[in-house]
Amino acid sequence: MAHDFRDAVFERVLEIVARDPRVIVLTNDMGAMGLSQIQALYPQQVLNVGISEQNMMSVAAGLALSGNRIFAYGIASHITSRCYEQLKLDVCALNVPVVLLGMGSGLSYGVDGPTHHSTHDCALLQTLDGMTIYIPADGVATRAVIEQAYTSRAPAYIRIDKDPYEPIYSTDDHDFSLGLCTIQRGASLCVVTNGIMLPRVCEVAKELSMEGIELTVVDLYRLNPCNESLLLEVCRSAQAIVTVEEHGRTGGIGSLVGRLLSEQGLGIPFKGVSLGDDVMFGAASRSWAHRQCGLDKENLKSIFRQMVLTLVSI
Amino acid sequence: MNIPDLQRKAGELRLQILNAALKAGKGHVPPAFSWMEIGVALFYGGGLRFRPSEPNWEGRDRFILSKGHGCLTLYAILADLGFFPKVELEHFCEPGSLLAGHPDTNIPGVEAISGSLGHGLGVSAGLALGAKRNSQEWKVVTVLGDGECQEGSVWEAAMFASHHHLNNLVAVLDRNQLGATNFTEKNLALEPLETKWEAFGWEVVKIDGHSFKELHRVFSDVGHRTSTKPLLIFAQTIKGKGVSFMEGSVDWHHRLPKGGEVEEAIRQLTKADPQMNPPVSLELVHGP
Repeated sequence: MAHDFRDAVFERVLEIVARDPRVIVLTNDMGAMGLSQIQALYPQQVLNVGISEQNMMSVAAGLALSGNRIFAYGIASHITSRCYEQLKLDVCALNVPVVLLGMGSGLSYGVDGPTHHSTHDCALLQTLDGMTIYIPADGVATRAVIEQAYTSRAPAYIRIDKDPYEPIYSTDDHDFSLGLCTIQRGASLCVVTNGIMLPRVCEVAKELSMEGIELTVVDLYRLNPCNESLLLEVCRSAQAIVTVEEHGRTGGIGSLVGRLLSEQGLGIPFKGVSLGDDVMFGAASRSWAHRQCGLDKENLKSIFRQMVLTLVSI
Repeated sequence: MNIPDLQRKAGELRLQILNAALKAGKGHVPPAFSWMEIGVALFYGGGLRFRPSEPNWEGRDRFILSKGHGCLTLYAILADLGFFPKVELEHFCEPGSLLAGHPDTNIPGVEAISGSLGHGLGVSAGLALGAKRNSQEWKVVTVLGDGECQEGSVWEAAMFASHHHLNNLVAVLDRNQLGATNFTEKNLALEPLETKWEAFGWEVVKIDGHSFKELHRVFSDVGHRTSTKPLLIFAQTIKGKGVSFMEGSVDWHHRLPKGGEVEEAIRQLTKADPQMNPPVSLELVHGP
């Protein structure tokens, strides 16, 4: 049964709001059923700042400096790129407890057009001093990383998908402190992914298993700071690595893994599958765009299969 | 301090600023001179509550210099009051030193990073709202440049502050008519600027930004305000105030005087008090 990420987000935010009166949830006039519920119960702790993302982040910093702890909710592309300098100087440089809840990761808003695509948010935010980036794949992970972000009392960004999810993690007691989780182990190929791509990779892995191709699947739910030592440990034992992400080519998992392999001198065959860095004009539905970029199930299956065949031929 | 003492202090700090900038070979001297009396009135004339030995004292008024390029005045004041050793001014902009060309929060007494314009009012509004929510008594004062008001984020923050009745927020607008390279009215007209602030829901009080008498009056009144609106002190100022050839000139944003200009600047700045210390090093006047 499919679930809505927003339910998981606001379920956990509500719990935090209820136990900590210093928490204020800001929204740039973006609504959600769960947010309305929090507002009805704790009207003093929800503040609609209007459609003004730059001011939203400066105000968030000021409120945090005066002893409050902030969640700032809005469409992912708007609360990351529109107000980038405010995030850099007012939030990250001052290291204040402001957690961004970015709704609509990647191409969640597909046909709404390039204004709503959030395909370079991770690239941008990774460059900010002290900004932790989480990309959860299901409700359990979402609830856990929101709690982590709140507890850290430091800037964080949670990239939330607008489409429904299928549960990956079975229980709420899973440990999300490591930054990544090996979902399954296989000898043929290691696939590093996160977010909405994780269940698809798992599905492909299941189908390829019937062909005798066994995949290791890694959920890199915390992109920044990356647990590089643990990720390298996984990479070292792989024959080949493929990264799969619904993000631009620059500044995501592929860039990260490519750098790590290169720095360590690991000559492991590697391929990055991602969106392009170009603006997608027109009505780029998510499924259409995925097919164009090789992120759909059939293309992924073919890419993984090809990587394994290449290894055999080597 | 009484008014003559405040005037003497402003003169002394102007000389220190000139000295620091000449030694560094850089610095925005005229933008610093523009808000000198405002800064001195705030820090020496009772406009702000603070403890130099305890910069993060919880009960302090929060001060943010939003026009961060005017930081030499803030540095000179904070050093003079003992927030950090005065010798730091001598090392302004030296690699690895405390004081850079725009202020950051490693400097005791600096609440926010500024220099990219249009940030200070939003952060100040957040602070002011936070103070109200937490029933804290301190107020927030921010100094805005007039060129800065060309940034859209200033007006987002202005709307926010009035919407939330942040009457514990005071913005002092350093209206010296000049941006970095031209008069504001020539590159992107701001007028009618007072009316704009009023239309955005602020109480506006217009003063001479170099008159300690007027500054004292308006800052004294801040403590007894009954209005629910945030307060905009529209301070009419002169960029480069105190040195005639810098005053109100489009050529003097971050240009430094050299040779005879330095001697003339010193002569003008020490006119009222020829014994004023510290003197600018003659080595800086004529070059090493």
